[in-house]
Amino acid sequence: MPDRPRRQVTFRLTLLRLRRSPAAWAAAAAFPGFILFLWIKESYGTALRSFLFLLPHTFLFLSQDMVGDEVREGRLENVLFLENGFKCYLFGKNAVLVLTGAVYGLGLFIPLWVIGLVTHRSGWGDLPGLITALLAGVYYVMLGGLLSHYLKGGSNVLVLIVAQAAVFIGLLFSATQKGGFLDLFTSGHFPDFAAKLEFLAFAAVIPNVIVAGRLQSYALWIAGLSALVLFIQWMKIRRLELKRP
Amino acid sequence: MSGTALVVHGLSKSFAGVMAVKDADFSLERGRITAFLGENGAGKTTTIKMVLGFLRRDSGEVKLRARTVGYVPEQPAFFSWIKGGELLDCMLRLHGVPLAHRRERIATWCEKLSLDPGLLERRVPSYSQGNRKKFSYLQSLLVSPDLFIVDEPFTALDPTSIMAARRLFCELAEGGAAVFMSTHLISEVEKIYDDVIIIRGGAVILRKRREDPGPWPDLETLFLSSVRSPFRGV
Repeated sequence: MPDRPRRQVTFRLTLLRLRRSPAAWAAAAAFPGFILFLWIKESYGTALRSFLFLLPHTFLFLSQDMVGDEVREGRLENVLFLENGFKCYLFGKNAVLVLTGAVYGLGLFIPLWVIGLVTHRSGWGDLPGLITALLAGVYYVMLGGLLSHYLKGGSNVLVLIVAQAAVFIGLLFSATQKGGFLDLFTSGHFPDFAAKLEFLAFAAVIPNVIVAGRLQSYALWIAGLSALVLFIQWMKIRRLELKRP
Repeated sequence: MSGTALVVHGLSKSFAGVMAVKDADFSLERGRITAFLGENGAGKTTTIKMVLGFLRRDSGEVKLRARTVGYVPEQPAFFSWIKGGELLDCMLRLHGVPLAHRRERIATWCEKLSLDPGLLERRVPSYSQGNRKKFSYLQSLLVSPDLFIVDEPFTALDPTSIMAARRLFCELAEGGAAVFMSTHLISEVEKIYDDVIIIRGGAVILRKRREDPGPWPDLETLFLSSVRSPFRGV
């Protein structure tokens, strides 16, 4: 089977899935609403910073229901996915979701940024923040996809959010200690190897932190993690069989 | 058209140490209907799934010599969010069928399968079980398969549709396709089969053409005598 028609079918099916997902629509509508609210209530600067910080999570919401449910419920045992077509479809979904997230993110960022440019409240210095936000988004899609091999659709996203909440609570506890992790985190300087490792583990759970200017040098870490998670996904998909429980 | 559409050699598969298919050898000829018979758990569906690439084989070879393969599973499952027409569109796109021919082809096959074309505007999982099966047939037949594999072809179909399905298999074989059907309904397959393959305990124990001489008066007797005889393999 030629690759191009297969890619087209993957693209079409993945977009149809998103179009029919109430959760995706709710997330897509709530996010700009929240940014607009911040702009009105606080300031343009707060809205732009929050936009960049939260943008990766929109990618995470796209990644629910990537693999597990479709395999377990036998939906891929279809003539459409013969000759390993189901593997191309499952792997190709990553690319479609990343592309969709990027188009959505850019579609919101460009008008927001242009308004800032015209009113001298944003500049070229915001672009590295956008790039790192997109990178963190890519990581979320890869991670959500990998988790969906083990968990039901939706649970893969939920488990990550619960982990983030737990890490966040831990971070708040460290705020009571002088020189604690939160102090190091806000300064962006990690004095020793252990503190650096601690931050890298933190960023693996909440990659959004690399959007902050002082931490953008850690973008490479997130890029590396994305590549690693994608590789693990590829290995899993390569050995995947369509067995119903 | 003649020749083989599929050659399977030494196909084996085990699940958690239990052999599901052992060293299966068979081939399917174009223009013939092959019945694939076996008791529950004999390894029919596992064999089919390995042939189609849905399961990895532990060993053996599958030589697919068909240009287009059709497949109807026993219990077709579909994405919960997709409409029939959208899935068919994907199928036709995948096989490069020009846009101009798509509507006409769908209408022709809907009529042959007695499937209401209005259903195509609805999500597939909302169809009745019988219509889901017919839709699965439609999906495959749209692309004119020269190897058509059906797992339990008559499940969920009403008597009229069973008759239509039998006629359809004959038409496909007359058109040069190899038809491979795994079924428990021996009385139905008796009316149309050309070749029979019997599998037992994961091993192919009998391969026979209808015209081959033998003491069995019908397919049911052949099947029962095969599965009750001491295990020996082929």
